[in-house]
Amino acid sequence: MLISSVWRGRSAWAFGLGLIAGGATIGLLAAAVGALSLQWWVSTAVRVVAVLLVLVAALLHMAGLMRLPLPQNARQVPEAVARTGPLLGALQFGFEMGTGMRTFMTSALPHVVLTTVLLLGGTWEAVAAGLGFGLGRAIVPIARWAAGDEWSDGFDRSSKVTGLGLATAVVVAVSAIVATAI
Amino acid sequence: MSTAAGRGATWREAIVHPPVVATAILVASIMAVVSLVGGSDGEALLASWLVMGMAAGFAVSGSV
Repeated sequence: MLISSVWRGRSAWAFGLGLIAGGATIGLLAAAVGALSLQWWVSTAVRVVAVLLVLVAALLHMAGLMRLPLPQNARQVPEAVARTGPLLGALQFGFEMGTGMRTFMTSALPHVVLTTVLLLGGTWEAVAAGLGFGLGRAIVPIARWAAGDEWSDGFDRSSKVTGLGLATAVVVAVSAIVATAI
Repeated sequence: MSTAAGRGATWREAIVHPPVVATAILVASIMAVVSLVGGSDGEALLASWLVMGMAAGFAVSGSV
């Protein structure tokens, strides 16, 4: 099964590379779509308000105070990907996971990032956000390489504290981005 | 236990705790803002975008 085999050996590096490439690709695509469809005619003030509204909605959703149907491709990456080989398969699997468009979304934070890129991102900002997304996802294979299955147990046990820290980091980053956009 | 082995064990113990990683990402986002306020516009702003993406990526990575 590829999903477990991507944590091992050279497959893990291909998987990580795929994650980062997928993140950078979706970041660039989002910036292009945003520049062509929204940024040129919607005022900065309106775009900033929209980003802040999505941020607040995401935080309320994560806190359990509001239930939002998160847009997502709610299914697993198909096992057919595994048949393309341990390196190419891991790379493709990583790329699809890195785009964030191919499987479940267990947090609303990626939606905040995508909205911010669509409405306020330029080329380099989008690449940075996309690379960051891929790197963030790649922390798990790195950790599993270092610590094995202890990682999954730790993630489950501390999901609330971890989520709070990550949500705060996104709030801080979005505040800086919005402040410079105004 | 040798010093190198001890360092390795400490690193592994730290990284198996997702809150430690989340805290590191949070600290990075705060440092980017501090740099931004300090006048380092371009790099600090890009760092904010990078950290924002990293936090979101890490937030959904537990589902792999």
